[in-house]
Amino acid sequence: MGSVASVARETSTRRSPVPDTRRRAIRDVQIKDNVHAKFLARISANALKNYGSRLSPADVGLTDEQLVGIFHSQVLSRQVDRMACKLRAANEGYYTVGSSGHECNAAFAEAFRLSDLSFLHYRDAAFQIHRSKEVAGQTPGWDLLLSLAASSEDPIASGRHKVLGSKLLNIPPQTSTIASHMPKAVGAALSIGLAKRIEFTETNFPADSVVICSFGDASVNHSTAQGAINSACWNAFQGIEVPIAFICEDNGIGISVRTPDGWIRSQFADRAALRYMPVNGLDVLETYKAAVAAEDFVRRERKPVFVHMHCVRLQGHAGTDVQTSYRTREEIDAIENQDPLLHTAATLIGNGILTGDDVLDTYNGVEETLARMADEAVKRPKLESPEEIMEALFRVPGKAGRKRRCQPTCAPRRLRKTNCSWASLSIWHGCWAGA
Amino acid sequence: MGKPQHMARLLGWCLTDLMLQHENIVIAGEDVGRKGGVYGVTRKLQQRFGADRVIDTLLDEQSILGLGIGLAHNNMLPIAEIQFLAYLHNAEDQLRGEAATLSFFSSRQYSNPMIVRVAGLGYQQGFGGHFHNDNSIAVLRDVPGIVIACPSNGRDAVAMMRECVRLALEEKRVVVFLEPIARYMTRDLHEPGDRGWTAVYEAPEEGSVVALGDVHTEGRGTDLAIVTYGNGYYLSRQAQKTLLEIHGVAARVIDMRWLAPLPEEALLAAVSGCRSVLIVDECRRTGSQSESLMALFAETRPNVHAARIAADDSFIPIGAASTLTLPGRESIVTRALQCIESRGTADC
Repeated sequence: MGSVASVARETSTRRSPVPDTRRRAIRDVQIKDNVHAKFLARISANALKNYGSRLSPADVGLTDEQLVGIFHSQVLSRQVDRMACKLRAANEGYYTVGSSGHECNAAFAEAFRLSDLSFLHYRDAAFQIHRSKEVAGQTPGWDLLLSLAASSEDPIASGRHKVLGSKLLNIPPQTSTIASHMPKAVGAALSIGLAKRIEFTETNFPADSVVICSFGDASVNHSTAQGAINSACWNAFQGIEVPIAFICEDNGIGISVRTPDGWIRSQFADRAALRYMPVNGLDVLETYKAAVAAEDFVRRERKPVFVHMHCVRLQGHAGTDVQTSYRTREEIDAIENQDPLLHTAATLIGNGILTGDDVLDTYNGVEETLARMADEAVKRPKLESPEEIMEALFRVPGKAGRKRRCQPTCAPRRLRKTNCSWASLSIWHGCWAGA
Repeated sequence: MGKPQHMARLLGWCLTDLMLQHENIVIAGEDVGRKGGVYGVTRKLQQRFGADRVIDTLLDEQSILGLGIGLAHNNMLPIAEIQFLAYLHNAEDQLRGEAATLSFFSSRQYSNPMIVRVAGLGYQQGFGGHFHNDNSIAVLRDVPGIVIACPSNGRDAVAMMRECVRLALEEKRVVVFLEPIARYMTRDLHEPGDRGWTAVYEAPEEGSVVALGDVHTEGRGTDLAIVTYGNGYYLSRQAQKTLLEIHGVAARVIDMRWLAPLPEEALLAAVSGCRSVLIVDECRRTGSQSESLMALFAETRPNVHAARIAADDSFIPIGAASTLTLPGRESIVTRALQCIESRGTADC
């Protein structure tokens, strides 16, 4: 092993495929991006006539500061998507499946608690970013850049995969594209009530916590998803506690295959032991309102809820997916015009919370900061050897056998929801505060 | 308690003690509760520990394994049961893609230690067909990081189950515990009434210890080393007697006990002194552990003549034909004698 590993090291180009001297600044990498262009054009020209929520922040119980905070999370998520494409174009990044069009999922992070274990859809960067603001010292932008660049300093997977995930944020890493995270999300939800019934107190999650499980409208067709939802309902139907919020982020398409109109609703609107809540996932205030209602229901009733969040997929499935091979230019144009960021920006401007210039400053400022961080992130170390890759397969074994040496007494971790103000947020937040 | 018992009873008692020792152990599976398991292994456990610690699940293996992972996330120790090995296949991604990868994709920050009891393998008399006698675990063998235990007898089953709980607690491992159904109720080894396959239950602190990677060697013969596991070990023990008494061949029989990770060092030590090795594998020729074992001996012991007898690449039929594709006592004896005769030639 040793010699193989050392040969691998000697011939390795893992540190980075691009030598430092030939490296371009990420901000100089050009990518074609109509969504970006349209956002800038509409905000600059104040062409927001049909955008924005019918509601005001106060209508849904949000302060202006909270809404600005959500908008910032959405913008950071969007700019991370754009940076992922630039990193790929520069051969410095390895993943381009984005969250664009789904950014209103940040509202769920606002509505639910930090201690609510969350098994996330891979388009939920905005959720993770927004939740990170509840913990001091988090640097979500930097973390996601490290993950995109497959750096061994990526705090969750250490460069083994681009995943959403964080131990502190109670988001287990998820690579799933086929709903395979859903059975265990249901299992985790069942564990909360089970622990109480068997009077087991050394749990990792509080007795009143709930589980979040998000997924797309295409993967919900998978038998794994159907089985998981069925299992949740089968248990809830007989009165067993299953505190889980299923969030179906319905962008209407799975790579190139359309979801039939009305399919999700007709499948889940009228199912035994499942509360169905549809919401316009382009409108952040509507989404937050639904998220609060779902949170309240699932936490109080301890029964499954199915939030059907209508949204759009901006861009292709991944950077390599050419939309024009299965969507007309008119369709793409119409979808791009439904950008949820434009809706949030219009809501902020319409309610007099931010000006158009403030929105542009936020949007461009996050991009600029992220680009500078990206230039640093690509230089961070990569995984260097087979040993380093494999050391995470399981905990390093002690000497096996004889007597059990540990008691099953991992201390309970009770994370409290941290009060989050706009001022402290800007200090905590790496992207906002600068690199 | 002092009487010798078969494997199903011993395993049940072992699980009882483990549940008494560890308040976070939860058993879950189809028919494990009220019925006590289709082979009685979990009999009376629900009566003793309640329906929340011995859970009758719905009929969906993905949900059973998902429940296991979810319980582990919340610091409980699940012992999930898959009723028959063939039922694992529709849910296998919950182990391969989810449970086994969690530590890997979180740099060990998250883990989902669990034990999955799987009843499987062939040789059931008068029952089955391919679903209930499935004899391939290729789908598990290549999953990085997981442990596959396969006890051949009750005494080992108890010691190995205790070691598996230790592996889950201390090393946060995902463990598959493969139980040979045909040996659950077996009492005799060589002739009716000899009680050669029973054992007296040993209390947790006094019992014999079988650590991960420990193999068992029966006999000291140097004419031939038979390397096997599960039902193959049982049949090889019978063949060992025939070989000695009828043919004058002194063989040792080695029970691997642990199928993954392959206990390479222990196996090499166990065959030391034998120039001939016969691998007896009840799983299908393609994808079975016999392939790894042949490679192991070829790569590390070029002077040892290794041969194998494995199940044919077939599904198991019902009725009297159900064992025709599997190694049997006679075929093991025949193959062993061929190995002895051709020793030193390229044939064996």
